[in-house]
Amino acid sequence: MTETTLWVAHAPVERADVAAFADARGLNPVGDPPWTGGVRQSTWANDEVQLTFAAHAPSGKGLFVVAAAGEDLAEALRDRFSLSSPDEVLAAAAEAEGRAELVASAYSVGALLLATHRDPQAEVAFLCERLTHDDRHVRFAAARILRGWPRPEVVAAMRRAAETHDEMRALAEHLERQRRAAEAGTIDDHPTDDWQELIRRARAGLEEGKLARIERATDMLFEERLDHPEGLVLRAHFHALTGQPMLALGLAGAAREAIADEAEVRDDDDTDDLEALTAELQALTDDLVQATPEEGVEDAVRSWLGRFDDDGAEGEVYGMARALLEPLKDLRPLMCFLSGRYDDDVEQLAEAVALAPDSPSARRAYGVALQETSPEKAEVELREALRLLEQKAEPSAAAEQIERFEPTMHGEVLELLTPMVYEQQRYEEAGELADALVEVHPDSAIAWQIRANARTFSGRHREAADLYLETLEALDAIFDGDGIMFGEDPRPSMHFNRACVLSKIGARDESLDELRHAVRADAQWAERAVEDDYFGVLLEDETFKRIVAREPRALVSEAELEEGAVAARLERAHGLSHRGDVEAALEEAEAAAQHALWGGHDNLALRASTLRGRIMVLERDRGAGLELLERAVAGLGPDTPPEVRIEVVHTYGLGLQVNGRLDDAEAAYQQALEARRAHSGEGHPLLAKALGDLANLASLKGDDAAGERLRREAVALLEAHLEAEDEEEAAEVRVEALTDLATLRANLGHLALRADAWTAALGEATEAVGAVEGLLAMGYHHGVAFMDNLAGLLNELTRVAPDEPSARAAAAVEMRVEGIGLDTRPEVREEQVFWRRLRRFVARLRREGVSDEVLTETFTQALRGPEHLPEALRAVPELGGFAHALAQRAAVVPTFLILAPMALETARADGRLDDALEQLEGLCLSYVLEGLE
Amino acid sequence: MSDLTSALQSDDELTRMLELQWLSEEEGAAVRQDWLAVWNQVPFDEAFHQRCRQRLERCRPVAVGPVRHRRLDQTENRLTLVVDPSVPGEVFVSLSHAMPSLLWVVADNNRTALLEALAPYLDPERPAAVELTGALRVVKPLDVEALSQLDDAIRGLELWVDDTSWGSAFDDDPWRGVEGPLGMLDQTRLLREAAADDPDRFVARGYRTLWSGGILRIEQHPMGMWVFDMRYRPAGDARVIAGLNDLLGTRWPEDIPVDLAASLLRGGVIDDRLLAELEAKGEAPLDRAAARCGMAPAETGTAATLARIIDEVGDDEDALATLANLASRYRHEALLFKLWDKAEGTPLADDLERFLSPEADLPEAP
Repeated sequence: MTETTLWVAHAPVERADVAAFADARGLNPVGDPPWTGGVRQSTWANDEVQLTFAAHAPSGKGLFVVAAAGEDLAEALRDRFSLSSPDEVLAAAAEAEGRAELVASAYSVGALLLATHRDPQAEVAFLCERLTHDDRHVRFAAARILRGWPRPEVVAAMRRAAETHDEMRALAEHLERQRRAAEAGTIDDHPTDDWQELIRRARAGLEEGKLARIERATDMLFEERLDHPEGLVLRAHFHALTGQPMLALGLAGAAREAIADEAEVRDDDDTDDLEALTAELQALTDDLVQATPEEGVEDAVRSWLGRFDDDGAEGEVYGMARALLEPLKDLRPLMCFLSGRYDDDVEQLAEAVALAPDSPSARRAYGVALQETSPEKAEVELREALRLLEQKAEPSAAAEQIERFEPTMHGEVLELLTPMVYEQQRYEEAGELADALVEVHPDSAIAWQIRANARTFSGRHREAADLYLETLEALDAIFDGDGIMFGEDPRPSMHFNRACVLSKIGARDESLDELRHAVRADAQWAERAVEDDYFGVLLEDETFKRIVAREPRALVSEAELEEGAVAARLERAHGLSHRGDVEAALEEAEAAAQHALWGGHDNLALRASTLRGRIMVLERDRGAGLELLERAVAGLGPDTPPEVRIEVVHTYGLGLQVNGRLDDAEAAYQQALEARRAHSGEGHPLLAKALGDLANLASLKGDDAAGERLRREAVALLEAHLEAEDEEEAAEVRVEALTDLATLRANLGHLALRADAWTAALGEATEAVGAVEGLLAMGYHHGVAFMDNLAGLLNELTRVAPDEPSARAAAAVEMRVEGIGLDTRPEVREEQVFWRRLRRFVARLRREGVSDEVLTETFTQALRGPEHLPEALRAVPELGGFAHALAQRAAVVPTFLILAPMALETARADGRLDDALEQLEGLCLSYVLEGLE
Repeated sequence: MSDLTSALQSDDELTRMLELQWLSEEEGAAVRQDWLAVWNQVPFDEAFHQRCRQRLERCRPVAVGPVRHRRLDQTENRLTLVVDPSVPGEVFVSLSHAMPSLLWVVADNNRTALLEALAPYLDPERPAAVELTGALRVVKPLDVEALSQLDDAIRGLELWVDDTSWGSAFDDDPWRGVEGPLGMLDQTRLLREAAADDPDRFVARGYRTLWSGGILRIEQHPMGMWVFDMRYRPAGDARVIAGLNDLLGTRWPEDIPVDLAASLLRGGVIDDRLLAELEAKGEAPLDRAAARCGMAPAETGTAATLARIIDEVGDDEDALATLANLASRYRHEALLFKLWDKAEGTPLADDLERFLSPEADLPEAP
């Protein structure tokens, strides 16, 4: 038979000595947890014996617990380490004199409480006596030791001590609460959000009859998830067992709905637990149906219903109301209303109205339920609801039940009534209702549309034309605002309708302009226009015909083709390009080119095509970009202004270079350079562009010396210009100068590195970073390709630095590049850098011709783990480490786990990988920022 | 084939056992260049950095062997055989391109010696913490505010330490038995679970080295003290460790594996011998107290030492206040009463009385 012996060391014991003792007796270490709450414990054991040594910081003592058959080991320990038995410790404590000894001995006795294999009755009794000692040090010591022991005798002793020593009062009350919690079984039920743990506690509480555990655990569970099926079942049990049968019935009803909802998302063969819960509920409720309602249940039921409602748990509201329909007669109007409104149950709602005829909410809900089957009756009910709202009379008790729970607003009823009346083609009435509705609900898109359409169909065309303008303005605010809008954008239809009424009143030009808007947004309006008799007078109009034929030219208005408008568009395209928004820049440039052609603005057309070509060459498809540039060059004529010619020829040179036609590129650059010199004179900053590009060419051809010379010439030119700081100079000239300076410096850096001039290379790279930061200060960015290049240069400089200080210096500059345009807070910046690097990686692959579809698919595979990637891709850090990088984020950002795969899946479907990455970055950043707050 | 390694290189059995690929001169030079480039970016005390760099510059990598990957981000650590022409007759082994060269495993230039030296590093088994018989616990006073900074340093610089770490709630490595590369879902779940902390323990993070499977646990203690608690299977690198001890003035046990020792290199170290020396001299009582508490928290000897130091500092109120803070953080309650008694009549006594009062820190009534 195993005996357990407890010893206390009265002198310091080295743990290593205990370990050696255990080892010598063939005991192996089986547990060695770190310091926990002031205790450091180690355990050794073999098949027959277990030895535990615990160092107890509060007392400064060491405790030995030996579990063995026989006393040999325990005696050997005593001999080795000078130990005392619990009785000896108590005896010594009883003899203690003087404050220091009394306190120390109290703690020695307290150490004995650490041993859990025995009932420390004697020790507790000893310490309880000390609670009333004359010396408060001694009282305090005893109280501190006993504060974690809510045993009945301790509680009683503390209460007695509190009668004579006020400082004990709070602790006595605390212990009393702890004792009750211990009896209720909740003393160790610390707060947690672990659902499984909470269900386990509630179940244990039910099985052990410790009802407080059920209540406490389900309270915590419902903070996290109110519609937890098993939680609701267990809570129903609690109320049944505590004399609250109606609440139990109601929650059982809610639980049934929660079970049904859960079953819907499970596989058919995965519902055993739900079936068991259903059977459990049945057994519970069978006993309760005939029960008498408990006192004060109405408020409790309302409170639960309100809680479900606020949580959006509509099914649970329905379930509870349905379950209490019969038993809770006093609340029948409310129960009828709630159970009826869930699934538009006409019968239930009819009863609700019968019981509470002056309830606008009941009338409203009834009206909604009647809409499909009896629209006339529905309207009657809704109009009655409106009348009741306007009347504002004191509601009946039955009506008040319903209105307290769910009051109805005037606007809600109007929102239901207005389209109903409109669909019945009572347009005058519909128009009046819509007027009232937009007053109370200005963000109701449908209200604005009906308001204008109603006038159209009433034949009030001029009025309708004005109201459509108001509608479009309102819809702009609604659809372009911060909220998320679902459904189709109705603005094209409003443009169409306005076109119709304008045509009717003979406003041809305006009508055609509106029609353009509609057709551009959606081709269906072209077909509809041909069929619509509102356009009768325009059917033979040539412009109308071309618009409905969707000829691109016809879909552009004259105003858009004016030179100023085209030039502005081209400006925007340049700006977008400088800001790195490639897609938007291409779109604008394309539109500018087309509009320029149609408007007969040849030079603008050339410039726009050139810009398109440049963007394509650098960011998308170099071959297609060169073709565009070749066409632009072909479009040059003797009347082409010099600036335009230089721009076109120079950019053509760039296109040739990127496509590897170096000699042709050199010829183009030279041509542009000479033209620039002739037109602008020496010293103009734009000369630097040609010089820089010629330098690149020289380097590509292996003539680094020439490349360096040309670049230095360009740098000197630009720096002189920038230093001069001409305040009248257009911002874009300065932007170009800074952009070119950054590029030149970076290229000089590459040259120096190639020539093993490390320090010079770092100097150039640092200057380049300075120029980029200057651009940033003006609100502009260098292109992604350049930033990639510059980051690569600095990375290489760090890698091959001659010594550590140099490496650190290079790394510091590299960090500046990494952080360009980013937040200054390190935590935010780190997150931004991660996403920036990922986007750069994506951009790099795109330039190499990898489609977004392939990229998205690859990332999706990478998410599942590196083993799902081809071996060659696993070594690519952005891909091989993708799952890990996202898992680190998902471990911190709860919704990321779901959103990341969803975002990639959406990107796979609609090809917008950039949007997916932006969305995920935004989510991660929001958590970082929240953490910082 | 080099004279320095011809015996090893012609040993086909050894090549097969260690999956060695022998490098040409050019290949070896390229590896060395890469290592130098990496070493440039690894911050260390300048003298130590220079010594390691000098060895890197003169050494020649001759063969690459098995690889160990970090479990999550798959960072590669490749075993590489190296010769140092200034030390013929010996072969060195680098366990990671990021590890200081002075921590290369060293063996005589023959199969038996090499395999014996590498045995502790090639065993793939990951023992439980209680099975690791070697132990070293040191206190490091570091100018670091948060554990995350040390974590970043380990992840960024100590590539031979696995990136699957764990929080203070775990007595042992919770990643034992987790097999294979992990997808995002599994990683997320395990990362969250493994990060759990126990509010009754000091903030801590546990790590395992990739090669020797040793465990490093870093604990954050009061007064800027950090504790590095190491458990390991004894290795046979006495020469390497002794060399480092001579160079750095440290006294690490000579059976500690090199991939654990590498984590000790930064910042000062207070080990139990230094502590004993300070205690014998009676110097720096408060630092001794803090270090003792960190080194051996809750131990009976620590309580006795603190009691002695309380007596040593006499009536110095600031010192008594510091000791009170320590005693409180480490739960030496009996000593707090001793301090209360000793500080009678001072503001510290009033503070202690409030702290030790039965009413103190009681949770609010619901």
